[in-house]
Amino acid sequence: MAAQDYNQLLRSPQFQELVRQRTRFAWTLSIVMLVIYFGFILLVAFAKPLLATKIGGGVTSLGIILGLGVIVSAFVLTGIYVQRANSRFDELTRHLTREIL
Amino acid sequence: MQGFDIANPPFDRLTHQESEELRAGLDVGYFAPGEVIIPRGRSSDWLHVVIKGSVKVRDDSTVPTVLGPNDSFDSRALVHGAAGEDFVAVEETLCHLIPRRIVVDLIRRNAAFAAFFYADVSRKLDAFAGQRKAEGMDSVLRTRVRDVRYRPAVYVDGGISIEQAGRCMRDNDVNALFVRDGGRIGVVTGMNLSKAAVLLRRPLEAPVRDACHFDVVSVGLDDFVFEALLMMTKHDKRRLAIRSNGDYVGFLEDIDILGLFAGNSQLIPGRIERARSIDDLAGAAQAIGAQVERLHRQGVKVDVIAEMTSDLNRRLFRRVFEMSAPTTVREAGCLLLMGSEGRGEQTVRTDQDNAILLDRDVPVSDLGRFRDAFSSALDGFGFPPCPGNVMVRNPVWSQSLDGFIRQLKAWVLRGDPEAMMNIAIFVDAVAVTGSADVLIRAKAALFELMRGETALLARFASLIGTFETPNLGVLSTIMASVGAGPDGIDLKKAGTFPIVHGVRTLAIDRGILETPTAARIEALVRAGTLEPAFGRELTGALHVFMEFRLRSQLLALHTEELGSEAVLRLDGITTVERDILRDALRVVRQFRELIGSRYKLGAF
Amino acid sequence: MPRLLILAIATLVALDASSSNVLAAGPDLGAVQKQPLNWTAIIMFLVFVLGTLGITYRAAAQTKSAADFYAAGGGITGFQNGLAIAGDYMSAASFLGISGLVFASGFDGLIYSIGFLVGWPIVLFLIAERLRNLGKFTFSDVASFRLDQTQIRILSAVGTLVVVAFYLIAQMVGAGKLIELLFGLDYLYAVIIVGVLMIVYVAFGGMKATTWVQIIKACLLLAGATLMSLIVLWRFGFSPEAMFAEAVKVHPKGDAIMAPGALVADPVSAISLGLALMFGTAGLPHILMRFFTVSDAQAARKSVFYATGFIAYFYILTFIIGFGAITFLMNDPSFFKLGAGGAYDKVKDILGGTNMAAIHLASATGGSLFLGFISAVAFATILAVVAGLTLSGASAVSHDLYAEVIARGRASEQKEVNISKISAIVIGIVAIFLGYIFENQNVAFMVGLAFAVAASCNFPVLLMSVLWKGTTTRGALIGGLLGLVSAVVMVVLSKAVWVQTFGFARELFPYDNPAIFSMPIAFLGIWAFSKMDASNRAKIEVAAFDAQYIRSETGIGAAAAHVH
Repeated sequence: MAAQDYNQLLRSPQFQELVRQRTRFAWTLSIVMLVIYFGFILLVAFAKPLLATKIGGGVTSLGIILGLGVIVSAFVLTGIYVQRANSRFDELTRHLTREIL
Repeated sequence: MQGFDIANPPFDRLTHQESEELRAGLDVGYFAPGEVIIPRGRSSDWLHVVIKGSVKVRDDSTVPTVLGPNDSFDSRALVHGAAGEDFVAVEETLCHLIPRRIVVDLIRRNAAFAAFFYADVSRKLDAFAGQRKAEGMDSVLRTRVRDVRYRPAVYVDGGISIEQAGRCMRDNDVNALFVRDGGRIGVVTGMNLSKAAVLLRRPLEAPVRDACHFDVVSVGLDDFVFEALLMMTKHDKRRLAIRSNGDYVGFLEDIDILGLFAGNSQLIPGRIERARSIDDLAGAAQAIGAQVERLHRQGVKVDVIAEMTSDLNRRLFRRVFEMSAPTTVREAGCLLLMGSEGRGEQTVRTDQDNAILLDRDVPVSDLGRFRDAFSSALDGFGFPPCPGNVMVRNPVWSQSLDGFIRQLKAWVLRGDPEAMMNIAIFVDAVAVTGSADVLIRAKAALFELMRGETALLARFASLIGTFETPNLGVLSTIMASVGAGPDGIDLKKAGTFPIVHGVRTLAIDRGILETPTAARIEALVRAGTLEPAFGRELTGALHVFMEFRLRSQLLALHTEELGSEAVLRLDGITTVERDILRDALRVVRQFRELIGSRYKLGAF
Repeated sequence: MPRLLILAIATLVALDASSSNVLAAGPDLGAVQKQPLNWTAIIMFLVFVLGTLGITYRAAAQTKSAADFYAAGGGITGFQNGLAIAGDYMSAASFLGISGLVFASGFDGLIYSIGFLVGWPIVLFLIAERLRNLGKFTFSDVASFRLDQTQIRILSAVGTLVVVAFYLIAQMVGAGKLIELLFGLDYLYAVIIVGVLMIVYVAFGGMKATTWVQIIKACLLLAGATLMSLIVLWRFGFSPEAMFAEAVKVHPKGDAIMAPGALVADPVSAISLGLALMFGTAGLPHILMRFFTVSDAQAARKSVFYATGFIAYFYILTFIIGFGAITFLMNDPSFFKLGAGGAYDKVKDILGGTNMAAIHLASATGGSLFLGFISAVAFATILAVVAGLTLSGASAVSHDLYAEVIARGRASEQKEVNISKISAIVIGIVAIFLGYIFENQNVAFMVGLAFAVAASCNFPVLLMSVLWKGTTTRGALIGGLLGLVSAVVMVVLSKAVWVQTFGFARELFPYDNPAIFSMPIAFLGIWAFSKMDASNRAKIEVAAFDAQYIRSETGIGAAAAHVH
């Protein structure tokens, strides 16, 4: 592929649409993950007593529930991304590829 | 004469007595640069053996072969009376000249020499290797006359003219006729007719009975070939009548017997070239298959069999193409044979991978007509169709160069198993007709597309790890003896495929155009990728697997147990063979390790 | 094979019955402080280790046509590949290490589990897709798309070797402790045995970290951990609350185990650890490959999804196992090294150290048979991971350093294979040495350091070369080296190494994990030195970004820029 082909592709609305959608989606999810995780870490760092709070009158602490929540959220976020990428983004890429070849 | 090297094959097969005779008749010839030693289509009175200098074999379709010292040429000009190519001195060249008379005499007396000579691949062919020497000869000599492809009997009346007899010979494509004259039956040969007309100056209207002889020497239809050979020698005849139930049913010529030894390698091309219709070619196609078995029985090495077979197949496909393609397609198209056929490694015919690349547009109707005609011709030969539909019939495999390069791009982009298979099949392609340049351009495009595709190459390479390569070491032998180990080895999975595919991957990676695995290995050695010693081992191992495979394929053809034909049963081989196999498997494992490390396949 | 297995198990059960008597009547080894050999467990161990490692044999399917050959290679589903990724990632170090951390300090272990897990979504969102599109699966291949491959390969080889070294320490300590405990050997000999075994595997063929090996390993590990957790939960009527309550009662730290504690004493260490764990995954040399073992991008994404599920599930299990170990083991003196008068520290005195908590729990919940099984699975896992790591390290030396840099692409493949084998041997010897000197470190902690190095060198270079147009070779090289060196220096000067291993009085670097400092150093270094790079080469590299960008977003275009 020659340089002008690259330029043409870079400017093509389909390419820009794909990149824009995917980048935004991926970064959104990444930031959500980062916020959840570092939120948890910051609580560990600065709010130990809060995490030690007991839940439901037993010995189980809020920290354990939140920790499990982080684990579950990682799994769920991955699922959301895969679902979206395997349908929407792949379709966009396919369109683009068909255009080029 | 001194200086003639009798250790040089095929002369090493001669007895002391025979080589003395040969030496006694030797002459030496000098040829100036550019001099045509034997023009195509001419006969030659000598067998030339190069002493010094070099000789180019010119054939308009292929790159010329160059013969050097100790190479001999040209058996075809000598025996068939027509050279297949031009033989031209490249530089000042000295040759030993062996008179035709002596060669023919030696061929008649020494079957080993004959077989060698007729296979015409003497430089490469180490035919009667080891223990199979006797077996190979023996099986030919113990063939019955009825199993030889002899010439059918054509009867004429003694009263017809010499001219009519000559026409009859030509129309029936025979060299001799039976002549009924009253109660007796005589024989007239083409040579008899010529002598009568030219030397004895008989008029062409003279009755043929005057030219024929009635002391017919014959052999029974159920006699052995060696009996026929004995009789030919005893009566100094090149041709025997064949009798069955008191009738003559045909002629057996020395050339037919030699054809047995030589596997008809000289005869099939003639049949292919002479063919006037697809039906004529069907017979030749059958003959190619039959020849494989015969050559193998004679102990010809498998790489030579494969080379000869693929050469014949290419001629066959070229003819089919010429017959079935409309002019437009013929001019624009480059017919490709791919897969094992393209690598020249197919012996027993399996599936056919073929394609056509067009370097300019042709009318759609012409292309459609060609696809149908070509495919139905192959169907008519009984060639198994390709299960993956990699055939001219499939539009993917018959399109313009530009379209095909786009297709290659799509495959590289997709990289799924099907795409990888198609890439693998294509990279093994050879052009059998038309402009080979089209193919080279397509391959160059593929190599460029694959450049830097480390992940795709790795995944491509990882296929060699799909199947285990078993170890035939002491432990597995013990295990097998108590029934706990493998009792058979899948030659294709354990041996051939890993070698062929690994070498193919390296070839793509390095942009090597050659297709035969052995040639690719040589190129890789030259490029420094493989070390020479290992390259030799690898080629050797490949031939071991091909040899065993051919053996079990032939067995399977007879027992009709197709499907398991790639499995070699370990209890069916000798200890020596087992050692050879073990060694070959070791080389494959070493090679897999090398590929594994090269493409970081640890994780696959 | 199944018949053989049943026979072996039957024998073991018989042995178990008799040996427990022997145990009861066994001599008091007193000062030596070694348990008599548990033959049942040992035999079970050997049977299973050989079984798992020997399982690479696959029944050969009938293949008739070429298509079958090609399909066989790409026929792995996203689910299977997910299992393989999980198998690769769930090293025994994290199994033994995290359950050991939970055993020692409860909640703190969870911080590690979470950190190891959350790297995956980030890898998927930001890295995996682009790598697949680029068609490259090693860090050096990606970075050399437009940067100078010779310099990049030097950096990548050094980075890879350091990461491998830290990761290997963790695996060696885990395996060494396991062998020490099981066979009653001295730790030094145990580590040597593990190292030699690993060298034999890697250098003389055999073990490969193939997809199927990883799948089988993952299944065994998940099955074993599930079973152990079920037994633990069953004892508490499947009420985690009851389990926690009991643990709080038994553990010397009492209620403190339910909240963050001493493990992440200060905020800086906590955040630093978090950064390392989250971003280290993407920089590990052997992980990225798995996006390419399936043929299409969809399956590759799905496999990360399944892998995240399996890994999450597994870490939840290790948490339960850790608490199970507290409740099952702490009041049973037979698992501890007894001091004068039978007194023992419920954490420090556990036989083999806290890394062995899960192993002891297997014995407590399922007897010698289960002990043998879990030990074997853990050991086989370690060997597989170690083999994979050693291969990565060896290939860094043989391919990146030797073939590409020293021989400039003119080495024959055989030569490369030989160099790779020699490197594997050297790496093995180094691993034995390091494994020996780091004997008393928690293995999860050591893995955390490996992640910190990966996050400070490989990850920044990878991310910047793919995402930032301005990255140049000089920037990547200097920035990457700065990250690498600072990470390593800070680790060496930290308490774990400087004080606990080298025996100095005071640590020179106050925090446990360097990532919070070394990662910014790397990123800043790459940025600053790229900006300052005014060479012609740099201009070409920046210009080549567009081609790389398109390719990384869509998979379209050439796989290498025309820079070189």
